[in-house]
Amino acid sequence: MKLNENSLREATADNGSFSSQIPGLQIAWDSTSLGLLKECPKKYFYTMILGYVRGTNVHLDFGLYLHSALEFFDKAKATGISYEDALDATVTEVLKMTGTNIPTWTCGEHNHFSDNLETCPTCGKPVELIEGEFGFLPWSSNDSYKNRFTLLRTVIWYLDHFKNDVVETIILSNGKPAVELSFKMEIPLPSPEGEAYLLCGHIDRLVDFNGAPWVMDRKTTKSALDNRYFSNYSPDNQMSLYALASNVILNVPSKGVIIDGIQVAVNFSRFARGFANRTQAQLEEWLADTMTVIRQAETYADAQHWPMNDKSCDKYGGCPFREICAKDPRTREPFLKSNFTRRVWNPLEAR
Amino acid sequence: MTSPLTDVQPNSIDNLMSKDPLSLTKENRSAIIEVLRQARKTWEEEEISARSKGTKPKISAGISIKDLDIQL
Repeated sequence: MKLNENSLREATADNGSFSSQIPGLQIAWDSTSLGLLKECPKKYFYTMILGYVRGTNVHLDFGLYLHSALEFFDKAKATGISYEDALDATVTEVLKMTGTNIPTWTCGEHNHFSDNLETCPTCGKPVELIEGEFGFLPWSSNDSYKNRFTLLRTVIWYLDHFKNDVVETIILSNGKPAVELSFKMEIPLPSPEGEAYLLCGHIDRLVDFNGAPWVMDRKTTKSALDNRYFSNYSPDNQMSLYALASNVILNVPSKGVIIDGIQVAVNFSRFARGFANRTQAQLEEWLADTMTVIRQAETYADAQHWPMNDKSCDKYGGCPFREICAKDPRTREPFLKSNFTRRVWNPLEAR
Repeated sequence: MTSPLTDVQPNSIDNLMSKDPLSLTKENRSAIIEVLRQARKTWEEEEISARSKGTKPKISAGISIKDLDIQL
């Protein structure tokens, strides 16, 4: 499946992280897009350039909800209110964000909530909209591990577990707490047309631990939180990028990333803390490697071809595009359109 | 589509969680928090007990939503 120059421009027209000069060349990168390119250029092509993803992703949804909830708490607590008041507000926030208000319809005898309804599901009579009246439809994930209840349980248990945490949120020079920090950094590497490459991301929190600055990140998993789990973060694309970014934000070298591992099970949530240390030399090495990867991206864009890394197909939980790549290139497009949905991933958009 | 969980007891926690969040009182939210805190306490006690006996902690330890039937 090959795109010509015009098709490449069209495919990335709604993604501001791509070059306006060179079709198919990404200019603003984050750890997700860098990771995709490193795993497999073809997977990167399907995901970033064509914008295909596999339907809804309960892990992504749950992770985003959890991050939003904990960010909300961090900000509320930083205003000076008590722990219990911040927790109470966070509970409301969790319940609100995991549901939607939908219209109410009536047949005269039965009321039902629905975005659109013509007949009553109970008795079959025609229905009318009740103006101004809404019902609340909670999020339903159909997943026994990651759902609305386990989300709320995890939030409350996590906050209670770290209630008397030894780490403290850093206050930035502008007086604001260092939470929910979206960053963009220019790197010393111009594109062939002279555009500046950017590294982007979103840091949960910057903290002081034992008198030194660290990035703090939270990760949800179903896995046990043992040494093997935490060893996955060194080396790691995202942790290295965060550590590098924190140096720029703070103007002081950070020690690396503190990772709060959050194991979510059906009937419990468990927590453990690990460290992804990064020295200055490691960060310089990572940056040099990243610039080499970006140069490779230029080669692919110039050739208008992103090759398959067929040694990655069964890794990282199995590539969702494996069944696509297994087909003749001339037949892939209709299967992509029917089995995947479109979603634009733009590193420049702050979460 | 009918609202889920409408057949549970009126004041149980799962019913509270299914309501419009803005309709919940501080007492409702405190009840939710308290039940989940109790669930954590129970789970931790089961973990400690299982470890002290040298047995693997019950995978099913903890409280499921069906058990959270607090009456206000």
